[in-house]
Order: sequence, then C-alpha cells, then structure tokens
Amino acid sequence: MNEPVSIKRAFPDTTIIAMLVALGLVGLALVYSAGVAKGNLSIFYKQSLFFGIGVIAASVLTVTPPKFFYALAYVVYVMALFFLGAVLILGSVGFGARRWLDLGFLVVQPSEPAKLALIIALSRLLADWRKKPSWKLVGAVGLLAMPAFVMILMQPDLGTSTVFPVICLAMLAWHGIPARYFLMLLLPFLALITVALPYLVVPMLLTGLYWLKRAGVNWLGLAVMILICLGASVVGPKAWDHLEPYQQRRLTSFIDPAADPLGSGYQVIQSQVAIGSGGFAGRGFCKGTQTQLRFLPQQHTDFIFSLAGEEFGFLGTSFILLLYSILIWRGYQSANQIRNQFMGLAAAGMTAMLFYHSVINIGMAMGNLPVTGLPLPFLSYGGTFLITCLAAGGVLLSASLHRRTY
Amino acid sequence: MGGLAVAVYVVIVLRLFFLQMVSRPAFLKKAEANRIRVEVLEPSRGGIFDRQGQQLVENRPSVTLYARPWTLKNNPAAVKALAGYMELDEKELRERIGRRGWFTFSPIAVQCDIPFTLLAVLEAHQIDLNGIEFKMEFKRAYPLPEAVHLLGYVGERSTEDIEGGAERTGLTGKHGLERVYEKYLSGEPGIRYVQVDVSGKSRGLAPDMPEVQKKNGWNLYLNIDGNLQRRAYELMAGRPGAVIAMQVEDGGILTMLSLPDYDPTIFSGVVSPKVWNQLATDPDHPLLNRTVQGQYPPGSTYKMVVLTGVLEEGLLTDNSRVTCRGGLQVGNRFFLCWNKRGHGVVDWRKGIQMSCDVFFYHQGLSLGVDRMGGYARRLGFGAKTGIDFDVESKGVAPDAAYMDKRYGKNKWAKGQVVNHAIGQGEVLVTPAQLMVYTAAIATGNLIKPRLGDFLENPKTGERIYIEPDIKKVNISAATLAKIREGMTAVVNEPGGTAFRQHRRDMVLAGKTGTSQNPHGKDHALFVGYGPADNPKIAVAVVVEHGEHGSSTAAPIACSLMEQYIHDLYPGPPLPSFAALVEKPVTTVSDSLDQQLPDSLGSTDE
Repeated sequence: MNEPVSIKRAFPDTTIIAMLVALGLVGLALVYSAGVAKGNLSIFYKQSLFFGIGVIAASVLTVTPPKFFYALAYVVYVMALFFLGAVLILGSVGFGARRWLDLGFLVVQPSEPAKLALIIALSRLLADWRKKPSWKLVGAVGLLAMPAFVMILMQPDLGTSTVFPVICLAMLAWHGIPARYFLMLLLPFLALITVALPYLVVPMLLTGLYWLKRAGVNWLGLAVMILICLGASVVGPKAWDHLEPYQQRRLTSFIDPAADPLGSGYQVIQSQVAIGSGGFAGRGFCKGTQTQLRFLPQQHTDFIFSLAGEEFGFLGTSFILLLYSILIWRGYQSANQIRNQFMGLAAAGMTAMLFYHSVINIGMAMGNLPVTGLPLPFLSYGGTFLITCLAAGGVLLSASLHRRTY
Repeated sequence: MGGLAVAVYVVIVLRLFFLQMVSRPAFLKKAEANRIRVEVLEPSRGGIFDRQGQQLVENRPSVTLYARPWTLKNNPAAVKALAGYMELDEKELRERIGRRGWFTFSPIAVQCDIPFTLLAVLEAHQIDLNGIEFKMEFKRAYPLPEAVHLLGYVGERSTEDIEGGAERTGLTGKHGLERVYEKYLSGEPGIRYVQVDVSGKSRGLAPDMPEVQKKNGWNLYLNIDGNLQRRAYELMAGRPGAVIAMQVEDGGILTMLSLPDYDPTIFSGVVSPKVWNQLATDPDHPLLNRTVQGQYPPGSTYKMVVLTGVLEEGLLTDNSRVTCRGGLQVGNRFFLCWNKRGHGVVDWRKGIQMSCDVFFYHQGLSLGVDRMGGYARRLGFGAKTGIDFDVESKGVAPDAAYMDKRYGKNKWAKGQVVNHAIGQGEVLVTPAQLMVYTAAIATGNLIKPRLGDFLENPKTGERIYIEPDIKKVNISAATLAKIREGMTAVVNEPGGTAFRQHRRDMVLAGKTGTSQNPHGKDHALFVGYGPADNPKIAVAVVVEHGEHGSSTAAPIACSLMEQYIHDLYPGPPLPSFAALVEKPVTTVSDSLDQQLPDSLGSTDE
C-alpha cells in the first residue's frame, strides 16, 4: 500500500476527465452563442447550472463503489420505469408528444436517466448469466428492455426509443454472443429495407445466404429466419402506416431534403447550409448568420452541431470529433481493463450510448441520417440530458477508478 | 470496439471536410441568399426640356402597390380582400403576386399608379392586409402634349434581374426619344443590402456589404422649340398630316408634329391591352409619327430634283423654252398639266414658279429615270435622314436598278419617268426627307436632323453634346442658286403657286405640291425655307387630304417660318416685299442679298 504506483492507480482516468470538461465547456460556448441569437442568455445560465449539477453527480458516481451499483441496479431500473409510466399519465405535452414531467421546481425528461438505468440493469443481468450465451439470454435482455422501449415509443419519441435496442445490442456484443445471433436479429430490419427498396432484394438475399452458410446455420434455423423476414415484410408497412405523419416525413426527408424545402426538408437544408458555410475557420463566435438570424432551427438543441460548424468551421467540428474519439476510445479501454465484469459491462454500455447519440445527431445535422431528435451529448441544451451524459461519464470514471476491484 | 467507433468518427470528419471545405462556396451562397434582401434603389428618370428650357416631360409622383408573396402565401383571406378592394379577379391577382414564385421575401409590384381612393381604402385596412406595401414611384407627365410623337412613351420594364432575385421596376423608354436616349435618361439603380432574419424582419443594413449609390438619369435638352411646336399644332387645326422644321445651320429640329395624335397620359403607367389595341388598330394610325414614318408621293415638291438634274447635266439652258398646252402626249398616254388651259411658253424659272407639269414632263424625259433617281439620292431621298428617332422610313427614290428590281429587268416603260418628274409613281418620301432636301437646296449642305441638343448630368453638370453632322451636297453652286431663285419666285412673285403667302417684312422661299392619293382626296404639301437670302429655317408640311398645297399646306408652313424668324430677329420689321417687286427683278435672291443684311445686321450674330 505504500507503493507510489498504487496511489497513482487509485485515481480515475484523467483523459476521460479532461474530455468531459472540454466537451462541457465547448457545449457552454455553443449554448452561449445560441443564447445571443435568441437575444436571451437564460439558456446559457441554466446550462451552466446544469453543468455544475452534472459535475457534482459525476463526482459522486465516480467514488461510488461497483457493488453499490450492482446492488441497486434493478431498483433504479424499476424507479425509472415508474417515472416513464408517470410521464405517460401526467407528462406535459410539447412537440406533439408527452415527454416531460413537471416536478414543480423543475421539469425533467425521465427517458434520459432511463437509459442509464437500463444499462446498469442489463449489466447485472449479463454479469449474473453464468451459462453460455444463448437465445434465452437474448430473450431475457429483450424482455428487460421492452417496458422502457415501449413506454418511450408511446410518448411518442421514436428517436429516443431507438437508443434502447441499440444499448441491448451493444451490451450483448460486449458480452460476447456469437455473430450469427446479430445477423438474425438484424435480418428482420434488412427485410424491412427491402420492402421499401425492392430492388435490393436479390443482392441482399444472396449475401445473406452466403453469410448464413459460412456461419453454419442449420436448415431449420434458416426456415425460421425466412419466416421472420416475411413477417417483418408484412408487419413493417402496417407499422409504417401507424407512424405519425411527422415521423414518416422525418424518416424520408433526409433522403432528399430538397423535395420539400419548406416543410420537413427545411431543417436539414438550413443545417447543411450552416455547416457548409462555416468553411475552414468558421464565421466567428456569435457571428454565424444562419445561427444569429435564426435560419438554423433548433439551434441550441438538436442542431447545435450545425451552430458549431458554422461559427467554428472545419477546425471546430474536427476538434469536437477528436474529443469524442478520445472519450469513446478511452471509455472502451477502461471497460476492457476492468476486472469487475459488471462494471466493465456498465462502462461499455455507457460508452456505446454516448457514441450512438453523437453519431446519430451529427449524421442528422450533416443531412445523412433522418431527423430523429436525438440530442448531442455534452453540447445540446437540456438539463436532464446533460446531467445524464455527465453521470454516464461518472460511471466510466468509477469503472476506471475501481478497475482493480472485483 | 473502440477502433470501430473511431473509424466511424473519421468517416464523419471526411464528410465534414467535403461539406465545409469542398462545397463551401455553394453553401455560403445559400447562407447569403438567406440573410440578404436586395433592395433596388430606383433612380429618378431624367427630364426632357426644349431649347428654351421649358420642361416637356417630367416625373409625376404616383403610388405603386407591392405584395410580399411569402407573407401572403398563408393568408388567402388577405388576397381575397385585396382582390375585392381592387375590383380585380382573385385568380388574376394571385397570378400577379405569384409571378416570381411564392417563396420570395422580396416585394413584387402588383399594380402601379393606383388611384388615391384605392390607396385610402387599402391604408385603412392595412392591418388585415399584412404583406402589402406601398411605394412612391414616379410616372411620366407631359406638360406639352403637342410633342407627344417625338417624345414617345415609356412602359413598365420587363423583368430585369439586378441581383439575388431583386428586380428593377419603374419605367423604360419604349418609343421615341424616351427610347433613343434610354441609356442616359434611365440612370443607374442603386442596390441596398438589408440583412433579414428568418421571419423576414429587417435587421438593418448588412454591415459587410456597402450600398451601391444610384445614379439619377441625365436630363435631355432638345432643339425643339416648344412655342413653335404649339404654333404648328394650332395651324394644323386638327387635320391629319405632318409638320417638321429644322434650323438649317446645325440641323436642330425645331418642330416635329404628327397628327392625329393620342393622349400621352395613357402611356404614363400600365397601358391596358384594350386601349392599346384601340390605338394600334385605329385606321387613322395615331401612333404613327408621320414626319419620319409617313411615306407620301412628294408631288410637285419633287420638281427641284428634276431641275437640279437637268441643270447639272447641262440639258437645260437659261434660254430653253417649253410650250405648255395643258398636257403632253407620251407614247399612247396623254399626261395632263395641272392647269388644263396650259402655261404657254415656260422657261426653267417659270416652270418652278408656276409648277408647270408639262415643262417637267419634258425635263424628266430628257433626264431619264436613272439619273433622276441619282440626283434624288444626292439630295437625301431614298435613305434615312439619320435623325435621332427610333423608327424611320427610307422612302423610295426610284432609279433604273430599283425599277428593274420591282418590275423585272427592262419590264418597265421608260415613260414612267414622266410620273417621277412630278413626284408621282414609285416616288415616296417622308416629310423629314423633304425638309432635309429643302435645307440642302437652301444651304448647299446635307444636314442630319437632330432632335436632341445635349444631355446633362444632373449631379455634375457634365454635358454630352449631340454633334451636328453636316456634309456638302454634291450639286454645283450655280445650280443651287437657280433653284433658290425659282423657289423664291414661287412665294414672292405674282403667278407663283404660293404667292398668296408672300410677306411684307420677310422673304420666304418654297414649293407647293399636291400628291395624288388613290385612297381619297389629294394630299397637300409645302416645302420651304426662310429668310430666302440668309436661310435659318427649313420646313416641310403635309396635310393629308388637303387637296392643294398652295391653299392648305403653304399657309401653315409660311406662318410657322414667319413666327420663327420673328422670334429670331425681334428688331425693326424687314423691308416690305412691295419695294422689292417694283424693281426689274432678274434674280430675286441677288437683290435680297443687297438689301436684307443691313436690317438684319443689327441683331444678327
């Protein structure tokens, strides 16, 4: 215990801390600029306060021992489900959906912390699974995530609901289930795509059969899979009809934003114009015309990356991506290095969640992915989400701090 | 897994590189189009003034109604209400507002020159009509409606993009001087860049884009004498025809009148197709500027061409005589003289003075078609005068080549020349050509007529002069002197066809003409210049269906010249003509040369 090495090792990952702080500060700067554009800096002050709260939350989580997370995993998840249920009944309506819970002194969005709760609960489920990974395990994971997924879909919040299956898949992958399971899980979605774009059927079928043969699937399994795919092809279009028109438009408009430049394509076009007009060095802090004259919609929330692109240019956007890369890289590293399987799963889940959010949001801002309304971690305005992201960072730090603990 | 994540981020950075570095210009352009509203600053159109500085065309303030399509797009009730107030079909109104698309923030002109009553109604309801605006603009007003043909008219500019979808509105010259000097009169529009936010609200001038100053149109000063123009209008007393007069020193047009005319105010704003069709299909052709577009057989006014030809060619001497018995048999046709009783023995001087047709039949036959056409061209016929007007007819001065072309080689009778000799047949001239020809006889110079004198920059006072263009006419001085003598005799000697027009205080010269008109009564013509010894003004008058040049056209032309010369020399009256005629007159112009300068000298030069 007197060895200096062990003292050094008893400190959380400084790189992750640096990335969290750097991203947080960049986020505050961007929200400040959005506030200037709004002519009201209150969002900046609020975000600063949330950042402070988030830092405290992250610090508390950092020093929390893994066994504590383990013990409370299901309790926290049940609480999260309770809040999600409460939103459906008592939630306040905004943008045509019930997403917020007014607690009197503050408004929270329970779907954000629910992501963390699911990750912790899944970590415990997977860590407790002593047998070989099997379809049973996949089924158990699916069952655990289902209530949260369905309740968020009912809000409705399509974008956020997609995070839950992604978390499940990422953690199953981390746990080490065989690749063919993934293929099978993804196959219905591929079948759906072929319904929308029929000319893809033949190449996809051929690649699929080739892969299945290599993966060594028996013919019964293949028959089951084909049935599932056919089912998806029948159910898919019906499900599409059940989507709200705004959801349909969002999903399709990214393919060709110019088709409806003043409707659903408007946001995407203005976002691309903002990013593109930034050039190499950007148009200057608080000087982007798309942002400051408010041609860029949702500039402090969903499209804050476009604000960064406009005002700080390629330098700014690639710097932000560098910060994300280092954070995600270190996140997976600390998940790898940890001896406690539960904490490793939790760290991997948190990292995957942050990664998924960043890619979907930036892809949307660049006009390459549908407008799903997923916020950008650490940068988008929104108290619940910022605190959630910093808390996820706290779990990562806890994992790095307790990497030698079993 | 970390490696996979970083690879995805690298792909994103590559995409960002493409968006921000490669396609930046296109996106920057779109960003600028978002934020900049280009406003056109209309320059005020230059005025037009006569030689005394009185304004012939001025700008009259009027109100134009504008609409913002983007704002009105989602407000059909306002469009409907507006259509109601304007008493316009809603569909037509929608077409007007949406003619440049409904997604533009820039205001679109819906109707210019809206009446005051409509303006009052619209202003009262402006709260419900969000998206409409009024703009003060200028229309043209014509304080001297008698000058309508030469001034021409303006019309709505067809859409002309300045920049970024902003269009220049206002007026553009469509005809006449308004069109000829459009480049100077219209000025250059300024451009103002206004920064707007997403709701289309102005955020002030764009700080990084300086305003482009507008340049107001230049003022045009004419050679036209407004008073003389008015006088010509009075003298014509509404009869259809043309009067054109020119200063012979430099070609400045003093008067250019064509009748029937039209009300210039109908062109000051938007002309309705109905009114336009009515004007365009009127059998009297009120839109035609007869002074330069009207083509008439010149009749006897053409006889100086024939006389010039035979004198120049040496086919006629002072002693040559022709006996007129009221007509001449040429081939199987008998050509009458206008005086069926005949003029008796006629020499060149009497031939002009009395306008004896038989004398000129003989001269025509000896000169021939081709040479006659050649002399006509030397005197300015068969070609445009080059006047600064946008349309002009060439007329016809037939020579052998023309006749060959028209009838086929050698398919025409040489006897046609008999018709040409009295300005009939194929010969066609414009009043402007007649005036230039008269001035050429009077001065020995072929002068290009100029309506414009100079253009003046209203700001700097810089002037651009429309330079005179004067060429020596290719006719010997001796011949010209004889022609002048004959023309002076026409007005000033008993027996001259215009003797009734002689003045006591000045000596005018001229030639009457009556041209046969297959469509009705004959046209009356007169060409003249004065004072005979020291020409200042040349004039040509055509009175359609006026029957006799001597009785209808000559009084108009001579009164006009009289007024001009009086205005020019306000000194003591000129010596009476009676004193001159008592002398044994050999050459009238010689005696004038001796007598007139003394009295003119006091004020001349």
